[in-house]
Amino acid sequence: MSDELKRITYVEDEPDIRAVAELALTQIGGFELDVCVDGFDALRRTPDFRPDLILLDVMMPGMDGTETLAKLREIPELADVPVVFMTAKAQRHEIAAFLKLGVLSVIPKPFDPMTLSSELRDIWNMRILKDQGAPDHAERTA
Amino acid sequence: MQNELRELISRHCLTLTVELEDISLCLARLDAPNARPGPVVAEAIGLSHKIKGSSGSLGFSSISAAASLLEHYLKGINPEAAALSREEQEGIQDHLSCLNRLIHSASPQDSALYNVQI
Repeated sequence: MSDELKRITYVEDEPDIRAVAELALTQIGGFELDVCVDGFDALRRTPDFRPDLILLDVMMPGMDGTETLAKLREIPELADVPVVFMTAKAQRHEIAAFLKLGVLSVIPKPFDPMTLSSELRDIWNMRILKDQGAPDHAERTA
Repeated sequence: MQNELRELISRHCLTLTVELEDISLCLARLDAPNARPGPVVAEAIGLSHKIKGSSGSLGFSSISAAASLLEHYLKGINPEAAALSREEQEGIQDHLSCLNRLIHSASPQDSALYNVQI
Protein backbone atom coordinates (compact mmCIF):
# COMPACT_ATOMS: atom_id res chain seq x y z
CA MET A 1 0.00 0.00 0.00
CA SER A 2 1.25 3.45 -0.91
CA ASP A 3 2.05 5.76 2.03
CA GLU A 4 0.71 8.78 0.25
CA LEU A 5 -2.74 9.19 -1.24
CA LYS A 6 -2.25 10.18 -4.86
CA ARG A 7 -4.60 8.34 -7.19
CA ILE A 8 -8.33 8.27 -6.68
CA THR A 9 -11.11 6.68 -8.67
CA TYR A 10 -14.25 8.72 -8.18
CA VAL A 11 -17.64 7.24 -9.10
CA GLU A 12 -20.69 9.51 -9.24
CA ASP A 13 -23.70 9.58 -11.56
CA GLU A 14 -24.86 13.16 -10.88
CA PRO A 15 -23.12 15.48 -13.36
CA ASP A 16 -23.13 18.63 -11.18
CA ILE A 17 -21.85 16.84 -8.09
CA ARG A 18 -19.29 15.04 -10.21
CA ALA A 19 -18.05 18.29 -11.68
CA VAL A 20 -17.68 20.11 -8.38
CA ALA A 21 -15.98 17.15 -6.68
CA GLU A 22 -13.65 16.71 -9.65
CA LEU A 23 -12.66 20.35 -9.41
CA ALA A 24 -12.11 20.08 -5.68
CA LEU A 25 -10.12 16.85 -5.80
CA THR A 26 -7.82 17.88 -8.63
CA GLN A 27 -7.34 21.58 -8.03
CA ILE A 28 -7.49 21.77 -4.26
CA GLY A 29 -6.37 18.24 -3.45
CA GLY A 30 -3.91 17.81 -6.30
CA PHE A 31 -4.99 14.20 -6.74
CA GLU A 32 -4.67 12.21 -9.93
CA LEU A 33 -8.28 11.40 -10.59
CA ASP A 34 -10.16 8.92 -12.74
CA VAL A 35 -13.81 9.89 -12.92
CA CYS A 36 -16.43 7.23 -13.59
CA VAL A 37 -20.06 8.02 -14.35
CA ASP A 38 -21.54 4.89 -12.77
CA GLY A 39 -20.72 1.48 -11.33
CA PHE A 40 -20.41 -0.18 -14.73
CA ASP A 41 -17.93 2.48 -15.82
CA ALA A 42 -15.97 1.93 -12.61
CA LEU A 43 -15.73 -1.81 -13.18
CA ARG A 44 -14.42 -1.22 -16.69
CA ARG A 45 -11.86 1.46 -15.90
CA THR A 46 -10.60 0.97 -12.38
CA PRO A 47 -8.43 -2.15 -12.88
CA ASP A 48 -6.26 -0.25 -15.37
CA PHE A 49 -6.10 2.96 -13.36
CA ARG A 50 -4.91 1.20 -10.19
CA PRO A 51 -6.10 3.78 -7.65
CA ASP A 52 -4.89 4.13 -4.08
CA LEU A 53 -8.50 4.71 -3.02
CA ILE A 54 -11.98 4.54 -4.53
CA LEU A 55 -14.53 7.21 -3.68
CA LEU A 56 -17.92 5.75 -4.44
CA ASP A 57 -21.40 7.26 -4.53
CA VAL A 58 -24.02 5.00 -2.98
CA MET A 59 -27.30 5.89 -4.70
CA MET A 60 -26.77 5.32 -8.40
CA PRO A 61 -29.15 3.94 -11.00
CA GLY A 62 -28.48 0.53 -12.49
CA MET A 63 -25.86 -0.58 -10.01
CA ASP A 64 -25.72 1.12 -6.63
CA GLY A 65 -22.63 1.69 -4.53
CA THR A 66 -22.94 -1.45 -2.44
CA GLU A 67 -23.31 -3.65 -5.51
CA THR A 68 -20.42 -1.86 -7.20
CA LEU A 69 -18.31 -2.41 -4.09
CA ALA A 70 -19.07 -6.14 -4.13
CA LYS A 71 -18.13 -6.43 -7.81
CA LEU A 72 -14.94 -4.38 -7.36
CA ARG A 73 -13.93 -6.75 -4.56
CA GLU A 74 -14.18 -9.67 -6.99
CA ILE A 75 -11.41 -8.16 -9.11
CA PRO A 76 -8.17 -9.50 -7.59
CA GLU A 77 -6.06 -6.36 -8.11
CA LEU A 78 -8.77 -4.20 -6.49
CA ALA A 79 -9.74 -6.52 -3.65
CA ASP A 80 -7.70 -4.58 -1.08
CA VAL A 81 -8.11 -1.05 -2.41
CA PRO A 82 -9.81 1.04 0.29
CA VAL A 83 -13.26 2.32 -0.59
CA VAL A 84 -14.90 5.43 0.85
CA PHE A 85 -18.63 5.85 0.38
CA MET A 86 -20.13 9.24 -0.31
CA THR A 87 -23.81 9.39 0.52
CA ALA A 88 -26.72 11.36 1.91
CA LYS A 89 -27.75 8.18 3.72
CA ALA A 90 -25.52 9.08 6.59
CA GLN A 91 -27.52 8.43 9.73
CA ARG A 92 -25.63 6.53 12.41
CA HIS A 93 -27.25 3.16 11.69
CA GLU A 94 -26.73 3.61 7.94
CA ILE A 95 -23.04 4.41 8.41
CA ALA A 96 -22.66 1.39 10.69
CA ALA A 97 -24.20 -0.82 8.01
CA PHE A 98 -21.82 0.56 5.36
CA LEU A 99 -18.80 0.05 7.58
CA LYS A 100 -19.84 -3.58 8.06
CA LEU A 101 -19.54 -3.99 4.29
CA GLY A 102 -15.86 -3.18 4.66
CA VAL A 103 -15.72 0.42 3.51
CA LEU A 104 -12.99 2.51 5.07
CA SER A 105 -15.20 5.49 5.85
CA VAL A 106 -18.33 7.38 4.83
CA ILE A 107 -18.42 10.99 3.72
CA PRO A 108 -21.88 12.49 4.10
CA LYS A 109 -23.58 14.40 1.31
CA PRO A 110 -23.86 17.25 0.86
CA PHE A 111 -20.11 17.55 1.19
CA ASP A 112 -18.01 20.66 1.44
CA PRO A 113 -15.86 20.86 -1.71
CA MET A 114 -13.36 23.06 0.09
CA THR A 115 -12.58 20.39 2.69
CA LEU A 116 -13.26 17.19 0.73
CA SER A 117 -9.60 16.60 -0.12
CA SER A 118 -8.35 17.15 3.41
CA GLU A 119 -11.11 14.90 4.71
CA LEU A 120 -9.94 12.13 2.39
CA ARG A 121 -6.32 12.67 3.43
CA ASP A 122 -7.34 12.45 7.09
CA ILE A 123 -9.17 9.19 6.43
CA TRP A 124 -6.14 7.87 4.57
CA ASN A 125 -3.68 8.91 7.27
CA MET A 126 -5.82 7.35 9.99
CA ARG A 127 -5.70 4.10 8.07
CA ILE A 128 -1.94 4.23 7.82
CA LEU A 129 -1.66 4.88 11.55
CA LYS A 130 -4.03 2.04 12.30
CA ASP A 131 -2.07 -0.32 10.07
CA GLN A 132 1.07 0.69 11.97
CA GLY A 133 -0.58 -0.37 15.20
CA ALA A 134 -1.81 2.92 16.63
CA PRO A 135 -4.92 2.48 18.78
CA ASP A 136 -8.09 3.66 17.14
CA HIS A 137 -10.20 6.44 18.58
CA ALA A 138 -12.45 4.11 20.53
CA GLU A 139 -9.45 2.43 22.17
CA ARG A 140 -7.79 5.77 22.97
CA THR A 141 -10.85 7.14 24.69
CA ALA A 142 -11.79 3.94 26.54
CA MET B 1 -10.60 27.57 -10.19
CA GLN B 2 -13.01 30.25 -9.04
CA ASN B 3 -14.26 30.86 -12.58
CA GLU B 4 -14.80 27.17 -13.18
CA LEU B 5 -16.64 26.89 -9.90
CA ARG B 6 -18.84 29.86 -10.76
CA GLU B 7 -19.68 28.30 -14.11
CA LEU B 8 -20.67 25.11 -12.35
CA ILE B 9 -22.80 27.00 -9.86
CA SER B 10 -24.57 28.92 -12.64
CA ARG B 11 -25.23 25.71 -14.53
CA HIS B 12 -26.53 24.11 -11.37
CA CYS B 13 -29.10 26.90 -10.95
CA LEU B 14 -30.55 25.84 -14.29
CA THR B 15 -30.34 22.16 -13.37
CA LEU B 16 -32.31 22.88 -10.21
CA THR B 17 -35.21 24.36 -12.16
CA VAL B 18 -35.31 21.22 -14.32
CA GLU B 19 -35.18 18.97 -11.26
CA LEU B 20 -37.94 21.00 -9.62
CA GLU B 21 -40.06 20.54 -12.74
CA ASP B 22 -39.39 16.79 -12.57
CA ILE B 23 -40.50 16.53 -8.97
CA SER B 24 -43.54 18.74 -9.56
CA LEU B 25 -44.66 16.62 -12.52
CA CYS B 26 -44.06 13.48 -10.52
CA LEU B 27 -46.17 14.68 -7.58
CA ALA B 28 -48.88 15.99 -9.92
CA ARG B 29 -49.54 12.36 -10.82
CA LEU B 30 -51.06 12.00 -7.36
CA ASP B 31 -53.98 14.13 -8.58
CA ALA B 32 -54.98 11.56 -11.18
CA PRO B 33 -58.12 9.52 -10.43
CA ASN B 34 -57.28 6.21 -8.74
CA ALA B 35 -53.60 7.15 -8.44
CA ARG B 36 -51.66 4.82 -6.14
CA PRO B 37 -49.43 6.98 -3.92
CA GLY B 38 -46.72 4.36 -3.31
CA PRO B 39 -44.74 4.43 -6.56
CA VAL B 40 -45.20 8.18 -7.04
CA VAL B 41 -44.03 8.96 -3.53
CA ALA B 42 -41.05 6.61 -3.91
CA GLU B 43 -40.02 8.38 -7.11
CA ALA B 44 -40.45 11.78 -5.48
CA ILE B 45 -38.29 10.69 -2.54
CA GLY B 46 -35.52 9.85 -4.98
CA LEU B 47 -35.84 13.18 -6.76
CA SER B 48 -35.84 15.23 -3.56
CA HIS B 49 -32.87 13.22 -2.30
CA LYS B 50 -31.02 14.14 -5.48
CA ILE B 51 -31.73 17.86 -5.06
CA LYS B 52 -30.68 17.68 -1.41
CA GLY B 53 -27.27 16.23 -2.26
CA SER B 54 -26.42 18.27 -5.30
CA SER B 55 -27.61 21.69 -4.10
CA GLY B 56 -25.89 21.30 -0.74
CA SER B 57 -22.60 20.35 -2.34
CA LEU B 58 -22.79 23.41 -4.57
CA GLY B 59 -23.34 25.77 -1.67
CA PHE B 60 -27.13 26.16 -1.68
CA SER B 61 -27.78 25.08 1.88
CA SER B 62 -31.34 26.46 2.11
CA ILE B 63 -32.44 24.58 -0.99
CA SER B 64 -30.73 21.46 0.31
CA ALA B 65 -32.54 21.82 3.64
CA ALA B 66 -35.92 22.34 1.93
CA ALA B 67 -35.36 19.27 -0.25
CA SER B 68 -34.38 17.31 2.82
CA LEU B 69 -37.60 18.35 4.57
CA LEU B 70 -39.66 17.30 1.57
CA GLU B 71 -37.85 13.96 1.42
CA HIS B 72 -38.43 13.44 5.12
CA TYR B 73 -42.12 14.33 4.80
CA LEU B 74 -42.59 11.95 1.87
CA LYS B 75 -40.89 9.14 3.77
CA GLY B 76 -43.54 9.52 6.47
CA ILE B 77 -46.32 8.64 4.04
CA ASN B 78 -47.57 5.07 4.12
CA PRO B 79 -46.63 3.61 0.72
CA GLU B 80 -49.39 1.01 1.00
CA ALA B 81 -52.16 3.59 1.45
CA ALA B 82 -54.85 3.59 -1.23
CA ALA B 83 -54.91 7.37 -1.30
CA LEU B 84 -53.35 10.37 0.40
CA SER B 85 -55.23 12.14 3.14
CA ARG B 86 -56.11 15.79 2.67
CA GLU B 87 -53.55 16.68 5.32
CA GLU B 88 -50.84 14.79 3.42
CA GLN B 89 -51.76 16.48 0.16
CA GLU B 90 -51.50 19.88 1.80
CA GLY B 91 -48.27 18.93 3.51
CA ILE B 92 -46.70 17.93 0.20
CA GLN B 93 -47.86 21.15 -1.43
CA ASP B 94 -46.44 23.23 1.42
CA HIS B 95 -43.04 21.59 1.16
CA LEU B 96 -43.03 21.77 -2.61
CA SER B 97 -44.00 25.45 -2.56
CA CYS B 98 -41.13 26.20 -0.22
CA LEU B 99 -38.68 24.39 -2.49
CA ASN B 100 -40.18 26.10 -5.53
CA ARG B 101 -39.79 29.55 -3.98
CA LEU B 102 -36.18 28.94 -2.98
CA ILE B 103 -35.13 27.49 -6.33
CA HIS B 104 -36.80 30.19 -8.38
CA SER B 105 -35.30 32.96 -6.31
CA ALA B 106 -31.81 31.44 -6.26
CA SER B 107 -29.02 33.10 -8.14
CA PRO B 108 -25.44 31.86 -8.49
CA GLN B 109 -24.30 34.58 -6.07
CA ASP B 110 -26.42 32.96 -3.35
CA SER B 111 -24.16 29.94 -3.30
CA ALA B 112 -21.80 29.83 -0.33
CA LEU B 113 -19.10 28.82 -2.79
CA TYR B 114 -19.52 31.71 -5.22
CA ASN B 115 -17.05 34.04 -3.53
CA VAL B 116 -14.87 31.44 -1.97
CA GLN B 117 -11.16 32.23 -2.11
CA ILE B 118 -8.96 29.31 -3.04
